[in-house]
Amino acid sequence: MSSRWTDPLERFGRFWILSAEIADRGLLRPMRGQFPRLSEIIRSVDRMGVGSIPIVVLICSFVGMILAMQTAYQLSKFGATLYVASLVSVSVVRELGPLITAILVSGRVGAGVAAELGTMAVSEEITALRTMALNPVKILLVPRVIGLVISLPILTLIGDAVAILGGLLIGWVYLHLPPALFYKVAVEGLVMKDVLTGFAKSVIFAILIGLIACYKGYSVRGGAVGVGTATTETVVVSIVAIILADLLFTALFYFAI
Amino acid sequence: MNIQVEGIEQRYADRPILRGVTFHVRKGETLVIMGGSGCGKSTLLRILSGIERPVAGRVLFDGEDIVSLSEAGLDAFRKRWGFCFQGGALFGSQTVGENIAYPIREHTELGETVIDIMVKMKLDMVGLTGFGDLHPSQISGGMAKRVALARAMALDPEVLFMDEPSAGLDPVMSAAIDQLILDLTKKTRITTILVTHEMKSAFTVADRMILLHEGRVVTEGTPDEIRRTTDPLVRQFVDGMADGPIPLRRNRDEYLKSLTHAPSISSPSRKDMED
Repeated sequence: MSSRWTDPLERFGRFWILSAEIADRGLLRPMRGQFPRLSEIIRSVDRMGVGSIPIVVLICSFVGMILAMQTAYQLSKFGATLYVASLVSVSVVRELGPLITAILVSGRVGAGVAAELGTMAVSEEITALRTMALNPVKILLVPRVIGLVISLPILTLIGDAVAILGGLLIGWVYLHLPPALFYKVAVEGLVMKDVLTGFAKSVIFAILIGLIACYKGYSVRGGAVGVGTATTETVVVSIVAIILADLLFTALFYFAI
Repeated sequence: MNIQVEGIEQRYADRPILRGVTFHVRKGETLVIMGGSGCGKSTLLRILSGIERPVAGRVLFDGEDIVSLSEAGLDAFRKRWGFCFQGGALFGSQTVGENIAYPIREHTELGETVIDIMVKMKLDMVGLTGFGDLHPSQISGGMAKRVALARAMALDPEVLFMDEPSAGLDPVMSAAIDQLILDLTKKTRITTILVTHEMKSAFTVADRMILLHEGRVVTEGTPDEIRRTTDPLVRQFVDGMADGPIPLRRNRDEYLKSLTHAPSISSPSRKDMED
């Protein structure tokens, strides 16, 4: 068989082998008392999560405003502008909050992780760890994936809140809806299932971004070009994976549950 | 550690790199692996240190074959080895001192005060006293190589692997590194395997040396034996001559073959070209 067909298969296989090792060291071994280093996880959460708060706040507040204006444009025809509040809250919490935050994080954090690990691979730092009898998956990859799994759901909650606030601002200034009323309608429009599905989505997106970025960075070969390619591919593949997972997840909740 | 290397073969995508390499290293001696660019010497070092696995052959450390070991089994050996990379491979996010402390912190239960003292001793050993707080990006190439050596020696290993320790350095720094390696290996009696293509370095530090050519060991001996050899291939390499048995230029047939991708050019097509 030509390598054109076998190479993608081989890469796919390697991705799952590495993912299984990350799952083993990040999930199964901690259950048996072998924990990854807490200081590394805290450092990852600080760099990935805390560092992403400004961009998430900025973009999600704009998305909330845009959503409020677009829905108000339609709902005002029916004299139902009050429902802008619940429309914004439900669509943000169920869908746009997790999705936009994940896409932002894949660009900011996923690309960063791939570039960092790729540079370490090229400069033989990862090989150096192995020669010191240290496991690079345990030391470098697991803390980053766990850091993302902790950070992204929290960032999503922050993103949800500021998006609703953005909508509230438009409702107040443009539609003359009192903030207290907007807040009441927005919260009443939500049910626990909306919050839980949004949260579950953000966890799945975090795992996807973490695994893809780690795999792409960890398997870099070929110098600066390799690092550049890995970074680009991380963002592209992460976004495709996020949207695909979102579609499957939404379909599952829509049809089955 | 006594090291016995038997029939090592390695291939990358069907291209043979090593074709049955056999030699031995006695406990406490410094063996230099020489060879031109692309002869497979770095690959050989990576196989000896368990970074890569060969397609065939055995590497025996005190009688135990590391080729057939699992990663966990290899790790037990790796804790007794030190590896000094060509580019240093220092961790860019850590200071020089943290780089040296890293293997000590990971593999021992020693307190920070003891680790600090050990790091200072290792820095003194390579002549970099007071440089512990700098980052790898703030030091020169020669200093990075010395830090890499200090890190490789952090846990006082029994075997030291070095990949081109003096490559890419100015002659003075290169000589200083050679002298440092010589002092270290003689004082500690550590078993050292060093890869280089720099003849001056090789003759300075070696107890014995082997020359690799096209994936095979073509000669083996002490520096004096190698200096006195009359083998034209070894002479060409040692004297650094462009002309000799080591082919630098491809002959006409090979060149035409590479241009045309023809499986064979001993047929009419060659005749056509000659006409």
